[in-house]
Amino acid sequence: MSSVFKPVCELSINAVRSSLLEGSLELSLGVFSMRIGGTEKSLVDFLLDTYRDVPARLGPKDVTDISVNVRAPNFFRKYIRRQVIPDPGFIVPAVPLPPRLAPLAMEMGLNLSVALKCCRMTTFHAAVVGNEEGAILISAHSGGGKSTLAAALMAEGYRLYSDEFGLLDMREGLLWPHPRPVSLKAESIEVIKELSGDEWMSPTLTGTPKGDIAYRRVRPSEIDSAAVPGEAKLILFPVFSKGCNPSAKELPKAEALMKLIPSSTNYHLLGEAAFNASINMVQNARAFEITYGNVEDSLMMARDLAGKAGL
Amino acid sequence: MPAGPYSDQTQWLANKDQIILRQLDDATVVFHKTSGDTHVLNFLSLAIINILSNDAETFNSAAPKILLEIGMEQDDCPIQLIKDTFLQLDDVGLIVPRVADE
Repeated sequence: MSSVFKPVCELSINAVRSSLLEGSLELSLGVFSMRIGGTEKSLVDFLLDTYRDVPARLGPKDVTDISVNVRAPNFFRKYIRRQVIPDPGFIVPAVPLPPRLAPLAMEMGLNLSVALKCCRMTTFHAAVVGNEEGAILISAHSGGGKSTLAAALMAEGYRLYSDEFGLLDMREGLLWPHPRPVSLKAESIEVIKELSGDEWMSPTLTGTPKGDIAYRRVRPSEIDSAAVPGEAKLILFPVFSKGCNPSAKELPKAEALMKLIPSSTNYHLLGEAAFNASINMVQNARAFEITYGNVEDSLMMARDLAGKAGL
Repeated sequence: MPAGPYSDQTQWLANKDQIILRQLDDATVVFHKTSGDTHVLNFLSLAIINILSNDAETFNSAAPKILLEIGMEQDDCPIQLIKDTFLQLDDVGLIVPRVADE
């Protein structure tokens, strides 16, 4: 077994498959190393396709930050009416999925692990993109359009830090990348396909509990920059309201802070350090609530506000 | 959750060691170490915390100092409003009744 990191696409299908069966495929992306296990062919195909440029190694015995095993929920569901769940090493209320949705189970497991196990950084439920001048933190409720906006900004040349998490370092006050593929749902899939090109999209997973889902792949340049953090210069709170006129409202910093705190999964756990880091981040950024009715409007406003924030 | 009931003799205290105050533009944000909660303070709440950070005070002795601190008369800032704000601050643990020495 190789202990050298190589892009997933340079590994053979058999090597990936046997490593997953052993539960010893390690992916390295930014601040987290992730050990993955699973028996499903759909998971092998997904990793070879959607994680194709991500550094991986086979069979390491080192400790990783995250470990997710995609497995059957019980003995019977391994063989009869087969199902899978993510097992991140702690009990989570996971809906059993058919084997073809093993990639979704893995993504859920990875997200839960970052959300519930990370104590090194303050985690916000947010997408983050940026350029050499700094970062844009996009915080929204589920369905608010943060992933779509992040993927649209990627098409504009911004680099992806993360689709699901703003990872705030508590000493430096910087946002760190963890660039996993961007999860897109329903109509957003076609919109981003058009902006980014088919070659950057994964096959669509149909009939998931959240409807159709496809992933926007991460670019090699974003993987190469995964160890380069950035300072938040702009914080956006997108609100989707079908058919509405686009509007942007600058938020007082205290209000921005109070909107961000509930989106953090570990703010209360980390206490004073998270408070100070969050205050410093908000202090140095401009924050806006943007209300929009379509992706073009949200992209136009984000582009304009990024310019105002010096990005 | 307030510890009540309280009397006019109850002395109130804002424990400076348990809170961190930070300014964000013209708003004051406070972190309460015991609960891990963060609150935005209005000018009245901030004045109450400032006055009760110096010494424990009964409501009746603190109220005139609070009015002086915010530069308002009772007509503009009714005593009942100050009393309600005391209870709200007690509710979130930012001020506490001082336990009498045995």
